[in-house]
Amino acid sequence: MEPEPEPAAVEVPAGRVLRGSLVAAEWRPEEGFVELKSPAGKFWQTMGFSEQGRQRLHPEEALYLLECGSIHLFHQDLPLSIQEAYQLLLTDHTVTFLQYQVFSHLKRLGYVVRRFQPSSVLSPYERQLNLDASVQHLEDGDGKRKRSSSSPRSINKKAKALDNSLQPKSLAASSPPPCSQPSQCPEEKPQESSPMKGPGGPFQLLGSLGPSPGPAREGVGCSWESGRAENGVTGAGKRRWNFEQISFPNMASDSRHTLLRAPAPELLPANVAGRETDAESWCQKLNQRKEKLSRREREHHAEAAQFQEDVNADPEVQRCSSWREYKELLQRRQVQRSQRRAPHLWGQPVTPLLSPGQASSPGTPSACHIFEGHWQLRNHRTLERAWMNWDGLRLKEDVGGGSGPTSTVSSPAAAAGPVWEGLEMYLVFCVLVAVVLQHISVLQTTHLPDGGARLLEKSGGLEIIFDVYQADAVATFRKNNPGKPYARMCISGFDEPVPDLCSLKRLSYQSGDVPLIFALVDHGDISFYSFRDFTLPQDVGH
Amino acid sequence: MAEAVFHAPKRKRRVYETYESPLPIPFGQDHGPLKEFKIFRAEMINNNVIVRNAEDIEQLYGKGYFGKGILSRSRPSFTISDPKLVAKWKDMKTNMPIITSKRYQHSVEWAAELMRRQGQDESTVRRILKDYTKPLEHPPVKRNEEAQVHDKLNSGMVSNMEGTAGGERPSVRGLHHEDGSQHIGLLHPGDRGPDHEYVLVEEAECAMSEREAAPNEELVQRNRLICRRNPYRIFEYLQLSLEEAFFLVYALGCLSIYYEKEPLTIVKLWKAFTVVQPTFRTTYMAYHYFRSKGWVPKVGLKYGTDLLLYRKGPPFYHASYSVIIELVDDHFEGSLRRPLSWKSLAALSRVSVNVSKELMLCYLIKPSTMTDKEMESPECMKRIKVQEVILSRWVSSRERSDQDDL
Repeated sequence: MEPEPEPAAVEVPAGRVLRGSLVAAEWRPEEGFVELKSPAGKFWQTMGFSEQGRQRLHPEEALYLLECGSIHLFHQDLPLSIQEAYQLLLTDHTVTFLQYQVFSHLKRLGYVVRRFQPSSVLSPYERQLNLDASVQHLEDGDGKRKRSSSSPRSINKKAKALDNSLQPKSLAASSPPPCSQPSQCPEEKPQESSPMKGPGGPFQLLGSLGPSPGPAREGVGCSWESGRAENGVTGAGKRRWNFEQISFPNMASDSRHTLLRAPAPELLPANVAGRETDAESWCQKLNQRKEKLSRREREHHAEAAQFQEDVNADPEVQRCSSWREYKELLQRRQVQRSQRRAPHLWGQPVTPLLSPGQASSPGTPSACHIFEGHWQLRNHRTLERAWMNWDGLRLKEDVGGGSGPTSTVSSPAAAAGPVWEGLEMYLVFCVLVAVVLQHISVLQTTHLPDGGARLLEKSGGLEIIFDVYQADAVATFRKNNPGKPYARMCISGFDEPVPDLCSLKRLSYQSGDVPLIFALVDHGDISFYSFRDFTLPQDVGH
Repeated sequence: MAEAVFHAPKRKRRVYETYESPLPIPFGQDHGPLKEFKIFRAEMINNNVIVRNAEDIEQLYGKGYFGKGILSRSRPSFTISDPKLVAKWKDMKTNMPIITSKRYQHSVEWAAELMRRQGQDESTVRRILKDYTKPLEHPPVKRNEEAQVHDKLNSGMVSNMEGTAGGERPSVRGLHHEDGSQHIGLLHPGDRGPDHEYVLVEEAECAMSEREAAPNEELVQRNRLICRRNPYRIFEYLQLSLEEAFFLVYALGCLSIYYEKEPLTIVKLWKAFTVVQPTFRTTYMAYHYFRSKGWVPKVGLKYGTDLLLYRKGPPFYHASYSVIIELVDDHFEGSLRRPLSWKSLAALSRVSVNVSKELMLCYLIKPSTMTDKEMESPECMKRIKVQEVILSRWVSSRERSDQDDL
């Protein structure tokens, strides 16, 4: 039906020219969208969606275009005025008035605003495995074909290479694969000891082969994709794994769990059968290599044996029957030493976190760990020397600065006899500070998306409504593949309560790695706020 | 990513202090760790934690910026010296405070009044004070090789007195004031106490004394500085907030808090402080968390929040974060310490931005399995998790070209 614009019936905003061929659209209240009756104009690049071969608009988009004067809206063959359109299109089931206000505000500023697409959000696990890159390729129409065609060859090469290289002896750490799966998932070369086992076969492959050389990785990536394509999983219906519900058995040495059941068949790709296995034999083959000490280490051990008492000769130690008891003994001794002073602090059930000795003798392992984690040093060799010669900050000949009497150093600004090189002393001081801070850190940090998954069941309250893309992305904007949004919007009235941590976690989990903005509407005035996850960095350097 | 970006703190343009140490504990002592570890001493006075020892005050404030001087804005730097007189006599190069004659008379009067209240009769009072306040020709100089004796002025020599290194508490024999904030400083002669004992009083010259024309006497009226002893001394103490005090006791083990001469245990402090300040546990946990990250939290009263976070300390950097603390349970819900509405949040956000700080919400997540009994001990902190969230305003219009990414 060719619409005839009737000036009498249509409310035309002042100043607008009535174009000859306005796009006609019809409001479908039952379905909740607007269907275009004539071909769309320029707005089609960033708005609307296609379904069953027809062009459709969301109610907020239609209303906005109506206000702009780009379309002509009909309902039951009657043209709608803007006022009527507001009343009809903005209901609780579609888009509320508040949400529309925000939508039009952002549109007028030039942003591209789309409805929220939950399926485009990747879970942290998928992101960790770089699945987003692969997923994007899957969706891309043309580019993928070429790659997948070349993949079968690389799969075979890769599979062969893996088969040959993996001998039981070279298994460095962690556990061998529990289930044997044909060609698609040969035994992997585990790089880290995290127990990523179980039915996530293809994903496991990707994760563990992270550091392997380039071409191999591509081959694997392709194999996964082609495998996926073979199994009939196309781009449109992407499955999302709920990794929080898939249980991975703990095969570490503290609680050996070597009898592994068959993985659930629905989690495996088609044509792949899993079976249960007992990994005990594999676990026994770990750590076969004997440690070879260098000459210096052997000398050091010999010297230590001369001057140090064998800790096992201590009768009190012999009375300890477990590691825990031994630690308690050490603790008691430490307390006794310090108990001579301040019994009201040290002789009590609850004692201070930092004992007096801890600021001066850092204890090599923890300090080293902090040490490495904190700084990138230009001169590693200096530090290595400083560390090796650590002995309560006594000076040694070969540590820069030459000879000098032993001296106590209490701060970098100490004026009494600093014979150290400035850098070393400063860094050692920083290490001490870091060690102290570590001793008093008892509160754990958590992140906003943590635990968000289990809050998904709770609905009601705020929801994410829109994906917002920046204005300069308009030229390259593709509706089928919009890419990662600039931000996601939640809309609320100004008088409504502030979202509590529960809602924040849920919403930020839903939003994934896209920043979340809250739009507050106060009688037409809109202000935007964002709550972002943050972790205060530790500050030891001055 | 959706996470907030860390912006490095802004350094203050003019820094007047040197940085000593992040915490008032000895780092890396050579000989036995127990030898030099000093435990500072504080007292509970009127539900406040007060440190009276001058040396302790210096250590606690200088290393970590704990506490606040009760007569100062932040660092205990109270002096009775009159700044105008100091500027006038700046050529004297003396460490002693310079006060006007009128002020000195006040001090004498106050001391007299106090002694009268103690029950001393009038003649005794006068006699003691007369003796005490006579002008000193050569005030005792303590092991100071650099003492300069100026002889530009006639009687009333001043000498450069080294800043006292004495660390003993101001001893007050028999003249004890109930109020903990001021202490009578009438000491027995010969008692070497901390500074302010000797003051320079500017007095007009008597007509009878010889007038020697001092060539560098620039003033029209002939004034001179006379060294006298101050009979009414005011001492400044350091007041620690409950969180700071508890941190020094529990986390570092370097402070003992006494109540009526009895030292208090950690558990007792935990309970007692909660009685004094019902939200103490929540605010303490956040304080402890930020201290364990190496930042210096101070009270956030000025900007309507709970804490201000400084890097290194207030003299060096402007505060970077303005923190609001909330305690929630395992399901991330909880009654808020303050009812937050969008209006108040928007207001706080604007205020923070205006003073170049970032508004941070610090959620302390308590597991729902934690019993009240567990909360009676500070060890419950091991099970508490902390979630930091930065709240910032986003401007949608194009003028936000200077704003960095979201």
